Amino acid sequence: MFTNLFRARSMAACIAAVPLLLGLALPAWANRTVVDQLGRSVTIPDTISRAVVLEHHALDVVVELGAQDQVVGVMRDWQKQLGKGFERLAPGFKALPEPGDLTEVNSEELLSLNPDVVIITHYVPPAMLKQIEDTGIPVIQIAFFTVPESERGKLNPVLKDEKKAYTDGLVEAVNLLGEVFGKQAAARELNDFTLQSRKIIDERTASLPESGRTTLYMANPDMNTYGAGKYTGVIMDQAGGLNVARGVKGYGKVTMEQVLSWNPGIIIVQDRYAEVADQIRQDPAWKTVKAVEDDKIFVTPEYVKPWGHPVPESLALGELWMAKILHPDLFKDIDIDNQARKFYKTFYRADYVAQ
Amino acid sequence: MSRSEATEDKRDIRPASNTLRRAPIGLLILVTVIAALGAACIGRYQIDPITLVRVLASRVVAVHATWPQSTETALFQVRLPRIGVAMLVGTALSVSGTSFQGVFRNPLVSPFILGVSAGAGFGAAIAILLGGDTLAIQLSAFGFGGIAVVAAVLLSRLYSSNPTLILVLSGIIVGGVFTALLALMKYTADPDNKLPVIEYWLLGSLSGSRPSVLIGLAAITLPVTALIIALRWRLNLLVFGDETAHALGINVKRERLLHITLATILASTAVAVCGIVGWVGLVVPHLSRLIVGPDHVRLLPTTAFLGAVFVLVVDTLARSLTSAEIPLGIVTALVGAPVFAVLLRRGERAWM
Amino acid sequence: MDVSAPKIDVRGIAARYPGSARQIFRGLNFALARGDILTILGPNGAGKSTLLKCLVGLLLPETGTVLVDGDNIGSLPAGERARRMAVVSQNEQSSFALSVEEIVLTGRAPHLGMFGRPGPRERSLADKSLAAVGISNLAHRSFAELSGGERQLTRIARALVQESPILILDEPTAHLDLANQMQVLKAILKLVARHSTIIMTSHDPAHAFVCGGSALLLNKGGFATCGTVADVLNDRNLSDLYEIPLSIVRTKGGNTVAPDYTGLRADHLRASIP
Repeated sequence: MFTNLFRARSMAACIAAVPLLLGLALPAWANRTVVDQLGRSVTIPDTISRAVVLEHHALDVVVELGAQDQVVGVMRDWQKQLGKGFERLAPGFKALPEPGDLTEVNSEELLSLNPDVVIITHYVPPAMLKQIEDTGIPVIQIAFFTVPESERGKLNPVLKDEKKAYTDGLVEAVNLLGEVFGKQAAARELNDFTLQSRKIIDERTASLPESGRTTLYMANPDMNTYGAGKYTGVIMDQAGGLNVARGVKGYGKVTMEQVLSWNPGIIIVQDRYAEVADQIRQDPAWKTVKAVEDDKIFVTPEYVKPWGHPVPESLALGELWMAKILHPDLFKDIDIDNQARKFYKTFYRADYVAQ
Repeated sequence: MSRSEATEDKRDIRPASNTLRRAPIGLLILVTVIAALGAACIGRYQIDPITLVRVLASRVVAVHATWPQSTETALFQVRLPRIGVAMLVGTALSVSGTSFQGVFRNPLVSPFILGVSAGAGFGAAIAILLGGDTLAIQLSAFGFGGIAVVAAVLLSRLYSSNPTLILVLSGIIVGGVFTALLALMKYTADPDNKLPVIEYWLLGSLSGSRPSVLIGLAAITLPVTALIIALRWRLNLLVFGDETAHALGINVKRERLLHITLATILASTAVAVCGIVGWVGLVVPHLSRLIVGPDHVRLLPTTAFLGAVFVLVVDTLARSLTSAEIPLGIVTALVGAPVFAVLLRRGERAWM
Repeated sequence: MDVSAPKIDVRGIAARYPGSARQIFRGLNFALARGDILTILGPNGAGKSTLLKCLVGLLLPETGTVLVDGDNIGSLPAGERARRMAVVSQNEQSSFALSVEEIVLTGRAPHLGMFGRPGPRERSLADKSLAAVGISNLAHRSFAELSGGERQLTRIARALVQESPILILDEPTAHLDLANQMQVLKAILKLVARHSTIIMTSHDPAHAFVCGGSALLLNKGGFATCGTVADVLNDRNLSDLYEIPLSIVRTKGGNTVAPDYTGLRADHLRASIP
């Protein structure tokens, strides 16, 4: 009789042990659901250790969250998109494979990396999205602005309140990436820093009148510039300026006559296209533009990134930088370089090096 | 029907009005100047006609400046060079088209028949991919346009029958090769930065016209056009074919090569500066023939001015119709193709 | 230029189709003095056009030489050759409707340089040529609208304005109705009267009688019989040449050549009876 009881007990113990053992083993296979920025519910593993990131803003945020070791594949030409200085902030990326970019992906190369999630931009061609979904790998779409249903897949969206869309969108994107990579605390810290910086600008520029603002022009190569619906307009607005190209829809080409007609007071050139500044200075057609006459052509430091979509440092540092150029007296006490150093130390774990 | 009746009928079909045929070249020059002045008043940067005249006058006599400096920049750095480039491109393409039509004895021939546009497109794409500046792109387009034609001519030398037909076929072959290579370039191009630049170049645009471009273009097109016009009567000699030309004492191979070379230089230069702008070299010679007849002595100078006005008008439309510029190649196609259809109908009498 | 030499001197030329073993003709010899006229006769495919191409320098004969005023035609520069020799050939199509006057003016090409253009002098020469062939009224008409005969006369006018002492005509009356043929022959005879040296091919032996002078009979085997019209044109030679029974008929309007059609209808009728 005692043997039978003993046998039953050990049986029970064995049976009880199975779920316990399984429970210990399962975390690797346990799943959770996240909602990406296009409202799609995506099931991903609890821990992410092999992410493929095919979007450059997301790559930037991933490094800021300290999650770069969880990345096994990056987007093609990330150096060109993020600027020369970014390589030293993410030295590991150079050796990583590049299975795709903003508009196309190589399924086989992707599969060979055995990733647990792929992060892509919101304006990928539908065929590319389907291609990745067919591989069975979970895919998350990131936008860096809050996307109304109608503007889902557009590179140049029409937004009612650009500032709110891009601010909320950035915060949402950072939180999403934090959740995906298990770096929620770092995400909160990053968002707090950003919004705090924002508060400073908002307080000081709130009193500026709407009219009589300095006009700004963002000079990209080949007469391209950013018009309405892009973050560039937001950063100019934040700085207390006016984008001359706000009548243009999205990113596009303008003509020399148009620029002469607009006559911007300040020209901004992105650091990744720094050569454009010299081209403008040497071109006789630009000579009579107010910004060239007053020599107010500014190449942005690498942290400004006044692109179509924002990254945290654009809001945290870039807007301050631009505001200071337009209104030096209002921001006399702010030492941007110091802010930049603090940001870099905290989020890039590196020193800020002024170019 | 008796013989005299038959002759009566034939005499009723008259060729193009003789008065227009004898229209003086002065009238054409006048039209061109008026068109240029008109185009100078149109553009994104507002300049009213009175100010325009005063600004132009200020270059010769002292006039009190009532306009901002940027008006002078807009006029002399942007708009007038663009007008000049448009006219030179129009002249180059239409004179080139007329020459090719004469050499190939076929009014349906365009200046791109020997592969110039395919070669130039490839040349531009390569230069863009290698990160070249505007001058590099122009030189590369010009160079490869010329290479394509040289290749077509050399290829045609391998065959001995029917020279003009073989030339056309060689042009198709060479054009096909360069088109494929261009497709390869586009396929490997970075879709964010390079591919749009290539596509934009291929569609044709004069938005990059600056005084330096105008000077370079004029330095090549004016002398070559003058040379072609000086030689224009010789095209009449090719009209009845190689045997007749031989009988008239023409070294057919050499003269054909001469005309092809001059016409190719013009076509290549035009494409290098403005991208692939089609239909001009096809439509303007036709239009000119309808007005002054097929005698190349009258035809070529007419075509030169008519081509200038044509592209000037079309480019002015392209840059002022909408807020964003429409690529020139698109507008010339949208205007040229229907015009060509109308011309074909009316011109059926002028050429068999 | 050797003035004492015959105007055109053909020595032992032979021609072959490219890449073929068959010779079109071989060992042809004849010479023309100033003012002579030669009619070349032969059936289709005998090589008349090929012979003409050799004479005008379009084709290099396999052997032999063609001398014009003592100079080898192959070594003459194109312009000089055209100043000595004008050609009227057939089937030229043009896509451009040049006027008759414009076409005739192109005949001045050998006398104008590369950058030359017809001026008043050339225009008056053209007017004279048009008058000489009787088509002055067609000067401003489009070539495309002319009849076959009028086109041929235009070509002759063009050859005239070239002012070359030698004139070569390839089947000048081909595809023309009888009235047009008459017009063309009239023009040619005018040229004979002006002491031009003329070589012409014809499919109709009667034309040789009309023009007089010499005749060259080129047969399918590539052999030629050459001599004055009186010597060479007889029933036997002509029948051998065309390989059908022919006889010369002397009529009021001149000599003509008639094929023997007897037996043709009878044979046909006989064959159709079951």
